[in-house]
Amino acid sequence: MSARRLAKVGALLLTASVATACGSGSSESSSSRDAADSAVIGVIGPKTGPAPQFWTETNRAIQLFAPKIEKQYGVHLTFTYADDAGTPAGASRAVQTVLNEDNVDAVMGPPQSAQALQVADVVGRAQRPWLLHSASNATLVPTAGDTNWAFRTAYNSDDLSDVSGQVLFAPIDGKDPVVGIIYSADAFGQAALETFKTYGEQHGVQVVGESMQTGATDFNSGISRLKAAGVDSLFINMTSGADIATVTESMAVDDFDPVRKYATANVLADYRGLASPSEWKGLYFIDPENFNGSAYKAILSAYKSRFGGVPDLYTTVFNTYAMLDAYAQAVKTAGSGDDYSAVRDALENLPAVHVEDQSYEKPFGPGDGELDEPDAADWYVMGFDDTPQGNIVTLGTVQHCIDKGC
Amino acid sequence: MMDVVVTGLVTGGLYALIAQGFVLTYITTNTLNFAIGEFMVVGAFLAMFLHGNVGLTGLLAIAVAVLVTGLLGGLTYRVLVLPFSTEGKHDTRWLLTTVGLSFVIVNLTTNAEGANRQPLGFGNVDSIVTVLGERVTGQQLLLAVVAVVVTVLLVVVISRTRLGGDMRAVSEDAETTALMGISPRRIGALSYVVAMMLVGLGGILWAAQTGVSPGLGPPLLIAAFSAGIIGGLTSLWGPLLGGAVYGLVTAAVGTALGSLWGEVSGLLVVIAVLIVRPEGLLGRRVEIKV
Repeated sequence: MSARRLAKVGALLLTASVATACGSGSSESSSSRDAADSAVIGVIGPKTGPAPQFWTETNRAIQLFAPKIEKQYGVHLTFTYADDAGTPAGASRAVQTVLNEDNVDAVMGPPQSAQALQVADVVGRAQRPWLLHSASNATLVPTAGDTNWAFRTAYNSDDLSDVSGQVLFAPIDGKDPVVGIIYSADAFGQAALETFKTYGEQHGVQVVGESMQTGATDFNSGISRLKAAGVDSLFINMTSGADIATVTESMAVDDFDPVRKYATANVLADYRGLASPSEWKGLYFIDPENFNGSAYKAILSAYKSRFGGVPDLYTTVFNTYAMLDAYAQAVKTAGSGDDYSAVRDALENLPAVHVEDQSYEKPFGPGDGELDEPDAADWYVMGFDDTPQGNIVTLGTVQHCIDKGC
Repeated sequence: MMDVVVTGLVTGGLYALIAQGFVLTYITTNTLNFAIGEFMVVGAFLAMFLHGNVGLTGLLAIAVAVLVTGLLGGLTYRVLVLPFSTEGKHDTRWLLTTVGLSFVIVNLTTNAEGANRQPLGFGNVDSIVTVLGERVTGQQLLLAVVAVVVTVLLVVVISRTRLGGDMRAVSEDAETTALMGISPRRIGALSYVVAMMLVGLGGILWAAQTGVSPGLGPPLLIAAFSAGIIGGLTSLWGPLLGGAVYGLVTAAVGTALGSLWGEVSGLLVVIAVLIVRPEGLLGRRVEIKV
């Protein structure tokens, strides 16, 4: 092998790598900065890497709803974008770019908790409002505290586990259930397991956990163990809908059909294309929003008209809308996005956040950066009908399902 | 207990099919394509495109995708393996180029198609069948049957045909074979074509059940490589035995101790085999007179 040939191949590989990774770490601006009632938001997300759907849905939500919100509140929002490549190191670079080069007034994202953790200190030190529209791990990415720069419109994982726990730990035929949790082998799954175990200890209910690697070929052995342990109330806490499909297929193979089967709303991404109606029969998910409510219907209708299909991540679109609404109101109140403390104070004192016809009264406050509360009466239980496309059906609020069954 | 055996053996069939891709190239060229997981991805995306966008029937889409994946394998050998393995058996630069190729394919497919899994849309045996009283998915059983059939065909071709004789000769002594008018390069390229065809087929059949995504290959790569090491990279029967052992051990330990321990136990078996019998359970020990 000659050096010339080696150089040729090396150059080929390098060119292809650069071509495929273009945009990584870069910052893109959508327009220039204005004066009063204006703000620049630095949006960080995985344009490249293993989860670009977060980037896509965030940007689509901004394209769809930012103009409407700007008009509604009479503010001008400018967005700059930085790719975190789905890695903590990428997030670290991206936040430096938006803060130091773009001099943004607020940071939105990263949408994934591990990456958000990486930038938390930097954003806190920079004292800019931090808009968490997706990162949900409350342990890794807490809001509030004395400085209270972080505000979250996504539900946080502790609240999800809390509300889910109220259903899953409820007695079955007058007896305590045996609760099983299938969790992804990552921070998201681990946090859910810890919460469930704590919940189980507090209520004297047995909790059986089984972890699964993303992309596993099957989950038969895990299902066998859950079945042998007598699990009759199951929660599937996987990051990917495709992995949930692997789980429910293994459940079908092993003829394992517990009384309760719940999953995270991640079941909406990819799941129905890979599973069959018989596998999702009786499988429910919980979310603070009713996907058949008028607000969601309006959002999905606008999304379909513009992009020709439904989002991969419903909640990211919804929560981005909510965040833009909250931030725009705060900028209007503060007079300008670059008065960071005034914007933060305005966010804390917002009378309401609006998403289409849905309102959240007094969503934040000093020491409260969370839009959603873990109140079972405000969260919904949803599932899929038995059509091949699996339309989403709403069974009622979580409280309703606890009281009367779903 | 029987459920563990059946599940382990059936899952092992998938690993064995992919592992044949390693064995075929290793016995003729002493090289391995570490982008094998990404060739599964390429095969699956091609089949999805040919069926969904071009309108080919399922079988035709599979046939064309498998063929194209094989040809890409041959091209990989010519461009990224052969030029980097010219300095004898200790020349392992091909390892870096094939790993580099895997990164390029992952980036290209992720940026082009996104990371989400998409349904292949055809080719899935959507049923649960009973084997020895235990339930398995029809697709997994199909993969296991294909692995056995492919192995038998390969053994017949290599032991009974002229081409197989040439391949055996090249694997024994490439230099002497070249002096006899048989081109080791041609045999090597052919091996890569056939190997990547098998990998592409495995990728398509697997994606029919689990969906297509750039991340389809890596989880199987580790298991397939393990199956190859356990069974022996110099034996065509090796992947079948290795896949069965790996599948059985991971299923048994996974059921007893949990899924994560199952995967760890499979890799511990690989380490044990490398220590006790580095050539694998069915591999041929080559002794060199010094």
